[in-house]
Amino acid sequence: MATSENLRANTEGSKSFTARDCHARLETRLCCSRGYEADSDSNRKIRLLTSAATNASETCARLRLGIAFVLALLSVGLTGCFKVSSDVGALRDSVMKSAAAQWDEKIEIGVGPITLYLARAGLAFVDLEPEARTALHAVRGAEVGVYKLREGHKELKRAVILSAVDKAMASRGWDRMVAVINEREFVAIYVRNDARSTRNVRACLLTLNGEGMVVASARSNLEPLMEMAFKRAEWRTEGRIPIHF
Amino acid sequence: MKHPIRYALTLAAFVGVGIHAENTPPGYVDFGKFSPPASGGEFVEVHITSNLISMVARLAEKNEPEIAELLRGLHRVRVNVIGLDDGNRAEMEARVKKIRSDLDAQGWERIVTAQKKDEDVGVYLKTRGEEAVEGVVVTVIESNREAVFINIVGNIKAEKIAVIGERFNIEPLKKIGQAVEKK
Repeated sequence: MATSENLRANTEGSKSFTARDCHARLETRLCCSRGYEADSDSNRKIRLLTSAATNASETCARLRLGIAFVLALLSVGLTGCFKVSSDVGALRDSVMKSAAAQWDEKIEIGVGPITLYLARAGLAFVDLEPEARTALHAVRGAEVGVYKLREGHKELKRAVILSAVDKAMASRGWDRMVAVINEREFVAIYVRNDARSTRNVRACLLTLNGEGMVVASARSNLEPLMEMAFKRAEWRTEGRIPIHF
Repeated sequence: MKHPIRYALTLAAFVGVGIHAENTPPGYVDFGKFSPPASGGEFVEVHITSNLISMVARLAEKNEPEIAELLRGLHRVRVNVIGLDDGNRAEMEARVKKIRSDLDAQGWERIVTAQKKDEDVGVYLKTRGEEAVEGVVVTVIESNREAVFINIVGNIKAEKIAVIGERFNIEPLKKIGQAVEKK
């Protein structure tokens, strides 16, 4: 009897244990399952957040690269990057090709608006002639290249050079305004044939002698320069040597 | 020409520039293409057309209204000075002769003829009606030194040319102005 009672008790106990255990297990499983689900959601969120962050950082890096590239381009464009432009390069190349001679580069420099702005800012503290200051303020950009003949002095075929340079510049939209050639000098000045505004006029200059070449280009506002020219006393008749030809 | 660079740059500074295809106005004369003399003699070419002439006219308006008025009427200015040597003298003389005969044939008026021992100057005018001058051509041959060709195209006012010649002390402009006024 005792045994049967014990057995019943045990069985009840075991049943109740089993039920409790099952309940507990179920709860645990549910909890685990909920936990797992919660964990899965947060993981997904984390993964999403991580991926978004990665994308954002990649975008940031790209953006930074883009900004750096644009800044570099701007610097090159605005400072002139101390090199001559393609038009001046074409002028130089046409001379070098048509002269059939070897040339050495002595200096090649180009300054853009930023460099000029800095120069102007620096020169604000220097006591300059007002006309020099006006001229400096009028200039928007400038380039100069100086080259020397490798063979030293050489007789250049000036007619051939002039013709070649005319052709090269005409194909790029430049027209020759002035050419002066004599035994010692060769000067040619080109201007854009689409120039319409006096505030941004570009001119290219070529000078040659038996030993070297200078190419230059300047972009300038003509208005203050012309005003200065008209105001200059030298333009007046008084004390001025007459121009003859 | 004693100061070719200064003269050329003076002209350029005054008027600015541009050479592009335009409808040829009545006062335009095609002198043809010139090359520098092979001996290394002088060669000056100034070629100025209407786009920058009008730009500079606008600029000059404030300080030099008379110059601005003259410039506004101009379409083109071309100046050629070619040093003469044995290689090109005959060709230049022939070219001057041909230009002059063409101008005569086209009804241009020869208003100045000056022939000295070694100098031959001709100034021609293309007029429209009584007052309007549409073109001026100057040809000079100095047999041992140089040939000069000048063509000024546009609505040219003689009194303005003389005024500018006087103001800036440019002898050729004074002479042209006086010659045109006398006419």
